[in-house]
Amino acid sequence: MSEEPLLLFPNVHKVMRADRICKARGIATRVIPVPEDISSECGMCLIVEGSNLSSCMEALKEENITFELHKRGKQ
Amino acid sequence: MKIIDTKGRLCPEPLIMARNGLREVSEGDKMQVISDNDTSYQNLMSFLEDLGAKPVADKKDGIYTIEVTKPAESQSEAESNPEAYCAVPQPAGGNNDYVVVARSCRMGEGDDDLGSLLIRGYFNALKEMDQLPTHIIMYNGGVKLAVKDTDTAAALAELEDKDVSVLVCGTCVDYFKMKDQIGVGRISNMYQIATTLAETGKVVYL
Repeated sequence: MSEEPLLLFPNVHKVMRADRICKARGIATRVIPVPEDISSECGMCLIVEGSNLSSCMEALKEENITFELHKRGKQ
Repeated sequence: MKIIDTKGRLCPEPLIMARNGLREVSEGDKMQVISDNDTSYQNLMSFLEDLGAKPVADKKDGIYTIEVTKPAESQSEAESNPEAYCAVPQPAGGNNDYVVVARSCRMGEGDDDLGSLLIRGYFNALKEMDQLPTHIIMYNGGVKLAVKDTDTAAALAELEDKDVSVLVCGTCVDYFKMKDQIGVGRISNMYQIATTLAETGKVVYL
């Protein structure tokens, strides 16, 4: 089964900032609610297409945005 | 005992996971299948019953635990076609049809950036739901959700593929001068929108 990477952030402000950083660098993101098997709290996370994942993670590190990388089965 | 955790998975994945799990245990061995979704649970019970796996279920704190016993090798048709058990139940005497209306490109009021994030999350979640709307109507600033190369347009395209009608207000597209940028849905007029709203039992306004 193919998997897609999820990026989780400490709070929604960081989600929005990460999304803006990706957008500025031409990296497409999808916003989805954090899957319930990862957290029961109401939150949003980003999906970045696999081919863009490393450049996205690099960009976030450069901007000092902390995140957790999870994987889920492709829907 | 082997445990198959299907929490958070949507049909037919739990069925396939359960079937594959059963393939890996020996005849007569017990296995547990965990589910957190009413529909998946019902589908799993029918499927496992037809496989001859004698499912016995227990529910605690919203989590179903189904204990099954690996049957003797059978040629059950269910084994090769778990997808057929992905029925979406209709409530007795009721009609599940509903229409989603996006009145702006945001969800709720309070903060515009937050509202934009929420509505993107909503449409990306909606496309994974078992119970889909019959129509999605976008008007006023809501038409911006259909702009090409956005994640909302991609989600709307997937919803269209699942037979959801996506109606985009033509007057609004004209007002925002966005006709060339619309990447999904059918440009629609107010007669179609009014008719759709009049004919549906339930309208969900975002």
